[in-house]
Amino acid sequence: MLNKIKIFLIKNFLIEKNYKFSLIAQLFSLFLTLIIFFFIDSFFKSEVQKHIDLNINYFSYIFVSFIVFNYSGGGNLIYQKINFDITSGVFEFIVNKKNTITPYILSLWLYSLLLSTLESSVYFIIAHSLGLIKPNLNLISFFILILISSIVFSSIYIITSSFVILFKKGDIFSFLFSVFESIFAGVYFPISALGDFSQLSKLIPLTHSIKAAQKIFYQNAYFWELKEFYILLSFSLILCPLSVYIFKKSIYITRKWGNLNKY
Amino acid sequence: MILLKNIYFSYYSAPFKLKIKVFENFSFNFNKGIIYTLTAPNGYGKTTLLKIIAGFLVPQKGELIIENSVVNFRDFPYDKISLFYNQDRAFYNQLTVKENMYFYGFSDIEEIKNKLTYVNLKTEFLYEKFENLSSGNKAKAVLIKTIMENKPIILLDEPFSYLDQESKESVKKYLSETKKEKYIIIATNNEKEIKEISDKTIRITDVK
Repeated sequence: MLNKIKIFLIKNFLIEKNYKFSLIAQLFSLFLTLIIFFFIDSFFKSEVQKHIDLNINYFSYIFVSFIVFNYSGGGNLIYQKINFDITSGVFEFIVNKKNTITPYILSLWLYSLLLSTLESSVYFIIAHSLGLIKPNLNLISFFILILISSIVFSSIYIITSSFVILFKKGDIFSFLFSVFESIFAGVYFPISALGDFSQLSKLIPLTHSIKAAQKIFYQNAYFWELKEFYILLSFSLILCPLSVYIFKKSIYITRKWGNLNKY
Repeated sequence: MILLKNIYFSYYSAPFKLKIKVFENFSFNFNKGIIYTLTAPNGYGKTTLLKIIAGFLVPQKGELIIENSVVNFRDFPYDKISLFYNQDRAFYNQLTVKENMYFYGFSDIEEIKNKLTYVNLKTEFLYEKFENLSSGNKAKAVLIKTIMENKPIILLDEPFSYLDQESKESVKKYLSETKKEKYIIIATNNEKEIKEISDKTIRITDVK
């Protein structure tokens, strides 16, 4: 199992090596986005500030939100990798092999976790060295929170990939989910700004990840003290096995329909 | 013995949307030690049949029995079967042949180099990206993977289409030498090409 995960991981990095510019562009685009929010913070300070209750400025808030949102994007990367394998044709050879589906899924999760951590570390180093953020960070708690969060995010995108494998109608589920969570999960603004709609936010795992991450990042909180952590743990215990089951099921059904290698 | 019993298979283009019916109550058995040639006009199910035996497709009805065991398609015995089909889709274009081999679990470079003689592939192509290879060399690279898997059931779909004459002879020699221990089924539109090694020809249209 471990050897298979290692082989899949190395394969992903070797393929990524071919697209160096895309990785640089990805890093650069999020960096630019953060610069935009730095200026928004300067212009609308008092308006936005009243919704933030952690004694931090808007830029500090959005910095951590974006780090966590980046891991949710990592889940989206899993979806993209599966689609890449389907369109290149190799997917059929990967899943029609003895005991490869679970290591395949695990390798995708690990890959997205490693890439997102690499990106987040770059942002952290830049923002911290420029004095834009003043963290009071509990690092181990932060890593554990990110680990659990990324299991939840990956599970969601594995489920959306399964729908694409089954129905061949494109990217509608992951697109809608991504838009929905970016509006309601408190990425760009605290959910208190949503008024009555903030109830919807509680259904989204990203909301709880962002809330917990802010407390760990700026208030040195321990993960076990946070109710959001237990909510995320519950999400992961349900979604992780469910996603593997749905993924395997969708592959079996498409083998029966004869359209596994179609996109 | 590989026994296909009352197989039904249709392709669905989308959920519950029937597109093409390929097999209806199809039965046949294949024995060990015989090289079978599978022929049929295009679209009559040569590749589909190989993919069902390889577990890439699941028949909607019927049974596949391999050496007296009814196959469970949810837990398919993939470790017994090698399928060569469509050489463009088995390997990642962005990886070299060597990296693709590693991806399929073959890391011993000397062992890979030894096998190159079976298909007359030059060593330097091992270090070339798969997308840069000609169709013939792509087929050779994927054939090496099939040979290295060394599984008891070998299914080949048009393996000779892009090969030069010398390589065709080498592959035929390999198949003849190893057939005693294996089930070998070759789907082709060019029956004459493998006449000298084929023991039995099956025309799917006759069986249907």
